Amino acid sequence: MDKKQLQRFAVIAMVAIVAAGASHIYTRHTMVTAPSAPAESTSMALAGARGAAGAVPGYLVDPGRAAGQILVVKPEDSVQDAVARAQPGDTIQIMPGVYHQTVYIDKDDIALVGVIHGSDWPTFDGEGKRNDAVLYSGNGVRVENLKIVNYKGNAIMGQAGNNFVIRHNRIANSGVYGIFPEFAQNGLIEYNELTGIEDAAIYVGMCDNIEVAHNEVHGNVAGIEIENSRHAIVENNTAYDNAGGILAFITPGLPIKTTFDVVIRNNFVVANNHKNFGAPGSIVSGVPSGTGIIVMAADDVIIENNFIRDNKNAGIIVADHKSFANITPDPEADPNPDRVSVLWNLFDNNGSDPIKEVRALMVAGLTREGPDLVAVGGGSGSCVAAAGTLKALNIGGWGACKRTSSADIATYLLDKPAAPRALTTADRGKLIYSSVCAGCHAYNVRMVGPPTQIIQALYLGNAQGIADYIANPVKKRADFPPMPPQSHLNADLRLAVAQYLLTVAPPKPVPARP
Amino acid sequence: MPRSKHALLVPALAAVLFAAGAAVAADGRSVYLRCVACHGVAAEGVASTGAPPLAGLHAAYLQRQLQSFASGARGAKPGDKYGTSMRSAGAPLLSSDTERAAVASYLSTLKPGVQRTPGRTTANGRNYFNAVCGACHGSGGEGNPALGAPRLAGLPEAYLARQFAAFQSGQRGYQPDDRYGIQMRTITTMLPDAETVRDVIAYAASLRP
Ligand code: HEC
Repeated sequence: MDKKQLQRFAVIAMVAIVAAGASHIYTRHTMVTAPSAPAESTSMALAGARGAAGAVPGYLVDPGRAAGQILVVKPEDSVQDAVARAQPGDTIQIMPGVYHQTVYIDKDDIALVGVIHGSDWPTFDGEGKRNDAVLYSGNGVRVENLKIVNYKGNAIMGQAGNNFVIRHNRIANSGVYGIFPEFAQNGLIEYNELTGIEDAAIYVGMCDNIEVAHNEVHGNVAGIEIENSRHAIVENNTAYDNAGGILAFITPGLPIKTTFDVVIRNNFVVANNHKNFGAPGSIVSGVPSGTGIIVMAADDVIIENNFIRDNKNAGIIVADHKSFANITPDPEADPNPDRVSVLWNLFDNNGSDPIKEVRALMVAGLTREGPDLVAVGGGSGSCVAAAGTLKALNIGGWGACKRTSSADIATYLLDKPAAPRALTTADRGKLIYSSVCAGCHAYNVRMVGPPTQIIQALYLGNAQGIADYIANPVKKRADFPPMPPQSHLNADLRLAVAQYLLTVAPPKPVPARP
Repeated sequence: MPRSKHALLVPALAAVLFAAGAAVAADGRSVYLRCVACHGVAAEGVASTGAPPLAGLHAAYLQRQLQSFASGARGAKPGDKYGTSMRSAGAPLLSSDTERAAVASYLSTLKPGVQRTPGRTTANGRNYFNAVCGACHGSGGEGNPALGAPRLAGLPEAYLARQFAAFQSGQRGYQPDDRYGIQMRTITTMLPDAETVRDVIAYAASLRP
């Protein structure tokens, strides 16, 4: 075989492998689902679901739960009214048509399921003026089969809602985050398509036990981001034409300080060369365009069996906090990525036009070839399999992997639904801070909004001022997106979160070493 | 005919409006002539006098500073050499709020100059600038009137360093009703060490207006 044939063979082999992986996963989901399989999804919805399992796996919804009612909503109706009428266990069925609405679900076990007739979808259109399409704080919430376009804040944002399913939605040009569960445990994000998002299209923030599978993300600044989250699998997704494809990050200044046990496998990570259109000065604007996968400070990440091709900066970057633009240290977070395992992946044509920092490493490494894999900054215990088959840069400290695959990690989803987060009145403010505000406000770095320490300095103990601002924010900064109104929180909760925000303490400095 | 009447009226009106506008600007400009000895003819700042560039700073910011010098909310602390000279020699040149407003609005219309010796860019300076300063002064140091945050881009490194130190030491932002000054004093504590302060100031001074 000549080189072309070889490449073609490799591609076919890869597709076969990915397909095999997919069917393996499928069987697993279906098996888990089979015993409970609540019949809430309509057959029309199912048909739209590209053959997805369709029903809700038992680990996400209590199988003993009574089947609820179906509430049908048409475009002229208010979805929020249906939510108000719904009882836990009910399904709100959204008929095709256009909805200029924002929905907030503060009840448990509600399914928001679109009905798709051929090419007619229920479409939520924010018309460039509404902030969020779907917000939820209930547990066991499912959002499925919706088209969401032209929102300014988030398409679907979860606020401490455990056991969620976000499936088969199509999201375009809808703000800073597309699908954004924050501070949640046990959730599934699958079969969604997202494009035109200014930060991360799928952003898993401060979560545990998450599965992100079979999604297609393109034309975003970041495709899929696992941030300050533990036990997450990102598999069988396609990430192309983003500035960065798949990210596993520790962002400094957030209430949760770690990211570990992340498996990134069986994904297509192709030509993520989109111009970075993140807000200037924000962390995401520091993602170098042309990067397939980035691990920043996260630990115990396994990268296996991905097809990583045509990313012009680098296939995979493993970086510490110091090496990343717009990051300032958090003394409570370990800045180094440790124990990253790059197992067998298929690489092709990465690093054709690397950024200057990577070029400098190439010069130091006496190579003219841009990297499939490059490590920058500190970190220990990382390994690479079959190092000879990829163009690696600066991985002198890396060993050979003992682990050969991640097959022993079938899923990080739980056997049964996670319990709701315990909530006493005293820590309501704290819960809202973690599950809402910290999605955009980190303590000491610029995520989407100004850092918490700056808000503290601007308001100087004036909690009511903050509570008033968030009920009805006005635009203040030309180079920041708008702050979405938090009017879904009642006045007491707004004041509680404002009071808590003012007490958030700086990360404790680590005592200086002698 | 109504049409020709209009045709005459429009230029006449425009001339009146223009003259009015010019009067305000000329007023500000002539008031500014009292300041050129220290701040320079084009309000470009004069290194030897320590007087900063004023061209293109926001009118509201300039007016607030002029009032502060006049009232003693700025420049009245012992040891503040430049503040003292502005307060004792500069501020009295302006006799009223009207004059302060006129000169501030005139200066805000001037194009900010580019520093001949701009600061240097380091990753540390950029990271902390974006994490701390950018939230109010803008990621390009352009300033933000909605937040009372002045333009930093185009100001000399030495002046920026001196003002930062003044906020740090309490030579600026010392009056209980100086809300913005107090905010800025709190914010100076957010840079971890002297080296970072130097890097951040150098980065701010490297930004082009
Ligand atoms: C989707 C992102 C996002 C979320 C979630 C968010 N914010 Fe913001 N926030 C922003 C952005 C962006 C700005 C800057 C807006 C501007 O300057 O025009 C901002 C500005 C603010 C300000 C104004 C600061 C000033 O200069 O006056 C306050 C106060 C604030 N946010 C508090 C909160 C609180 C409290 C929460 C949680 C209940 C929260 N934010 C949730 C993005 C967000």
